[in-house]
Amino acid sequence: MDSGYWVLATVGIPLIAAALILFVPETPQGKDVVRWFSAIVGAVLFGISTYIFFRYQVGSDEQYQFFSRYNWLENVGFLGENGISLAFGVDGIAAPMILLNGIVCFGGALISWKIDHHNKDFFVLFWVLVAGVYGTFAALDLFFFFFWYEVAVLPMYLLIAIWGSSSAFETFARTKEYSAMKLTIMLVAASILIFIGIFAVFHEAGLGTFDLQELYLPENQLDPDTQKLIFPLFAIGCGVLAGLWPFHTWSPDGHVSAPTAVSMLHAGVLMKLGAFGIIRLGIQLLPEGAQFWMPGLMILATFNVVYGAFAATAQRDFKYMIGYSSVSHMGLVIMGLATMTVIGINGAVLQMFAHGVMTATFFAMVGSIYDQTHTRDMRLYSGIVHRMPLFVFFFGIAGLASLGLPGLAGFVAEFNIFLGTFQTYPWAAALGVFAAAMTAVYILRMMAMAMFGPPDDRFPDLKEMTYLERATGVLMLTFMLFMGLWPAPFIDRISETVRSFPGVS
Amino acid sequence: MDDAWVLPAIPVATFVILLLVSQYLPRKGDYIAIAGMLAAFALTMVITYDVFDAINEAGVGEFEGVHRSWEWIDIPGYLYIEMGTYVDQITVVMLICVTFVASMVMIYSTGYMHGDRRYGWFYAIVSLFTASMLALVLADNLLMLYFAWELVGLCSMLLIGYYNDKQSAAEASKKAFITTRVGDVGLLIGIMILFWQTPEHTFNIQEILHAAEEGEINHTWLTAAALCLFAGAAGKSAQFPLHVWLPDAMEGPTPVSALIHAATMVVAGVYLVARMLPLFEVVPDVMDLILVIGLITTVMAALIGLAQRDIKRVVAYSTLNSLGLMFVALGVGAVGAAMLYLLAHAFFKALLFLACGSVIHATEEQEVDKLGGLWGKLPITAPAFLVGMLAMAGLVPLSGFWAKDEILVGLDHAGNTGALWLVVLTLPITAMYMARVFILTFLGEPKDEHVHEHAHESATTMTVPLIILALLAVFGGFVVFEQVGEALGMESGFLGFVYNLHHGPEEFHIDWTLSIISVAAVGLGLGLGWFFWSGAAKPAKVAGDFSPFGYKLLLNRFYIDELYQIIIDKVVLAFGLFIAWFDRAVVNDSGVNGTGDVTNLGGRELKYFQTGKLPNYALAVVVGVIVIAIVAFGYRT
Repeated sequence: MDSGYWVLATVGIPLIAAALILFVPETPQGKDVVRWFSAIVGAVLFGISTYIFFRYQVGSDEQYQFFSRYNWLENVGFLGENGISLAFGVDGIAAPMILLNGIVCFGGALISWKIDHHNKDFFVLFWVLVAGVYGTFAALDLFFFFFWYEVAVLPMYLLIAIWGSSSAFETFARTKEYSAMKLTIMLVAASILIFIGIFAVFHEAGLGTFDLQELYLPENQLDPDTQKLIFPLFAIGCGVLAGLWPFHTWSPDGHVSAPTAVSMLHAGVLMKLGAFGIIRLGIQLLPEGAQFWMPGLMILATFNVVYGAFAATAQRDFKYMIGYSSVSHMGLVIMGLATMTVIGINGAVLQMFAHGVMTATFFAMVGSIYDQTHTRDMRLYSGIVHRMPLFVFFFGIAGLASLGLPGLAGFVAEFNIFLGTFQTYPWAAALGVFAAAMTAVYILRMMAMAMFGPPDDRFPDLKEMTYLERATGVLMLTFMLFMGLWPAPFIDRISETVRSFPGVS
Repeated sequence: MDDAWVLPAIPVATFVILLLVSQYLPRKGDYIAIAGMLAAFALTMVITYDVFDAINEAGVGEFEGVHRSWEWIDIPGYLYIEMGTYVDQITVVMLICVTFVASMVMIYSTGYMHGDRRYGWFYAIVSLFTASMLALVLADNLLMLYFAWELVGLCSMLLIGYYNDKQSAAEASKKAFITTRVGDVGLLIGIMILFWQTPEHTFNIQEILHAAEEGEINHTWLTAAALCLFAGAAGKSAQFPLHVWLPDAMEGPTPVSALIHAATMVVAGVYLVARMLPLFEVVPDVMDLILVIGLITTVMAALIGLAQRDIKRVVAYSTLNSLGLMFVALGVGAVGAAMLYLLAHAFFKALLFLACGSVIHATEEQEVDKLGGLWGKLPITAPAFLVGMLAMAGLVPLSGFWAKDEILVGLDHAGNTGALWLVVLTLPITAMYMARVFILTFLGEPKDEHVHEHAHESATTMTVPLIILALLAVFGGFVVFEQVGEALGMESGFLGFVYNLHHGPEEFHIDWTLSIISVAAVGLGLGLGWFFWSGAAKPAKVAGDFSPFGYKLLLNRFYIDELYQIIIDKVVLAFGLFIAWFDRAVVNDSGVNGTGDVTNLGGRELKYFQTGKLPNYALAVVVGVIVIAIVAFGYRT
């Protein structure tokens, strides 16, 4: 049955894997051992995540399935009966997020096969990060929510600063150290807001517990004025990680400097933690505060969507373009959340999944060409399709998904968001649809410039993607098509949970 | 009819098969695609006769269409979306167009595309296109229609960019997708407006139409929705001002131009408006707008067609010309005339394009300046082109004549004399440029001996579809006669068949005055064409010298493309560059780094206060005490 051990395993396996990798000797054989081992761990995690997603029962009485709970601190100081506990559980929103993490970390482990420089250390940090993400998605305790959140964010600094790449352009340059530092400082600064918010909630509730399930109970709801005071802390704090304008600049620079697999995890999953936090800590914990502040968030989200789309049209670096497109698409997520409608929030979670898969594909593909040419300037390329048809195929599919082509994941998500937004903020929906059309402009400009046209002799040795990269592409493609053609399994899970939220119409 | 879903499923299956394994199959599996398409055509005929029977059974004016659907998304109490099929008379006309022309084009392409390096891909995408197009016309709800609408656009883009080593093809495919996408923004917004404004919150077309007719939708919102839907239709059907992509779409292989950019996809907009006509009729202002846009497009295209040098582009502008006419018909509510023209157009325009393709295949040249004197060299293609050209011009008794005549009758009925005369005035222009391209290509002296010598008639696989389409272009128009219609199984001729949908039967009759005027106009146009472009005198050149400005204006398509290019470069991209600069310089370098710098500076300056010497600290304490004492004292008094 729905044993909590499955969720514990998703957190425990990557942690144990990281610990075991520490003991592998750093020899050529050792490197291969690490690669094989990581690929297997990725496959196992992907398998468990898929199992959790499909095993999750729609229409069950329990709000949180796969539940497990271990008391950690109780009856000490301020802490009461339940105090702090390591509690995990999966609801209809966490289920697709866990699946997403499984997909992206499996793909990331395959893509990182190529890493040779201290690959042992890389994978240790990589798996710690993955464990943190799994932990956050399943956490049902405020304290551990924050704990896992930080575990997911902090390895990023080393991963970017050591394995990343610096870039220089005509008008400006970004070193990997700068990007890593900026990312860490901005995210940690945001964490402080969340931290203050968590303690404010703990103190105001006066229950002596960090247990989210208990805090969610209607009778334990904070009084409206307090909620209005605390909500901005969570909205901005989590919003920074979700790329909320104007706190988004860490994200394009961070994407660009990060190594391929880290970009994948970062844009694919990590940014979703921010949006997930807005749901868990904002909408669920502080419904009145959310109700009050959401119009403001809607304005910022609309800025995100339009601003990101325009900024992306001007980029000449593959990764910067994808980075700004992420800003735009994460704006859609926040837009969906800000509607406070069932359809809109449902769309936002769908978009979290869709954007995760398609951005991970983008970065995996860019990595495969960057490793060969060491440049991402799209003006230098022409007619890539003649040398790497499969690369263009996968890149094209991800591009079509991101411009909202029906039949692929992005459309289902965007459509729900727009429909939900239209109900409450028609002007924002119209701007969102317009920005989605702008996506077509920058994606197709890039495709026409770099992918098609006469073959070019600048990079005569360009080779088709490796088999591992193709496998990653197929993995992502499968889920893009799955959600695009048959969204019911996702929507059933998500909407059931969203409908149970207080204050959502 | 219940199982109409099989129709798009067949080409989807062939698409998947070809995509995965075509490179391992002999002939890259083209026979699978063709067999699938012929099966779909056969099934279409079965459905057609089922509909005839159902209409006869239900009685005139009573047939409601056959509907079947499956749940797709269900959020109980909030959102319920079904995917389903809806078959009625309009659907049937579209199905016949799509499956028939697609079959012809696929057979023709075995010759035309022979030996191409991406042969399997071509058939795969054409299959996917047909599947999407069939889903589009079968859709029972607007969301599914939008779904298929976008897929059709994708296939169009992929096929325009088929020759992927040409930069121009890449640019043209991008332009086509983005231009139609501008219209699609409208379409999507329109769909959402209708969803929220319909009391049942539904995407189902019939329910929405019903609500609109019953006046259950707020008039302002309905007007907005109608405008938005029309924007989508105008984008797909290349109406002014979103017409610029269609002529450039000629970068694709010619059979694709015949199928997608003449016979089927570009009439999707016409189909959408025809399907939603009851909704448009509630808002007469939007109907007038449709009429005006149609008129502008048709006149503009006819004028531009006079000056183009590329044989395919001339035919492309003739497509714009025809599409404009169909919208004119819809603008006055003459849905039967529009559908008849759509059907006839599918035949003669596919014929024209395939004949063009045959010329290009034979000569590897598509500039009229280098062709000429091919009549004897291409004994099948040349007469086929002649038939298509005369049908396009609208000469009695070819199919184009009957269809165009019905539009004139429709305009006359609506009492819109201004529009009627404008259409009549463009008739000779249409005839003139069609005559011009025929004369320059097939008659006179060869302009390039080398090209002429190497020309040879195409293979049988290409000429047989030409012959079939030519026969239909000649005789297809006769379905308007009641006797012909009844012989085919339709109760009362084509118009009665289509009108049965909403207005009850309407009889076909010939308005002799209009017919004579239109035939005279066409004759005049053909005569003028002959006068200007046959023989050595070249009065056309004289006309060009006489009004060099006018000639340049037409040659450059009224500079509309250039205008758009300026808007894109100087407004959209410039704004993008500004935002990118703003993000880097202001938000990041000033905002984010600025915060860091201030912190840094603060730390650097403040560190001097931490000297580590006891006297300094003692001094600070003393100064502090004194200051506090003074402040406290001052505060008290």
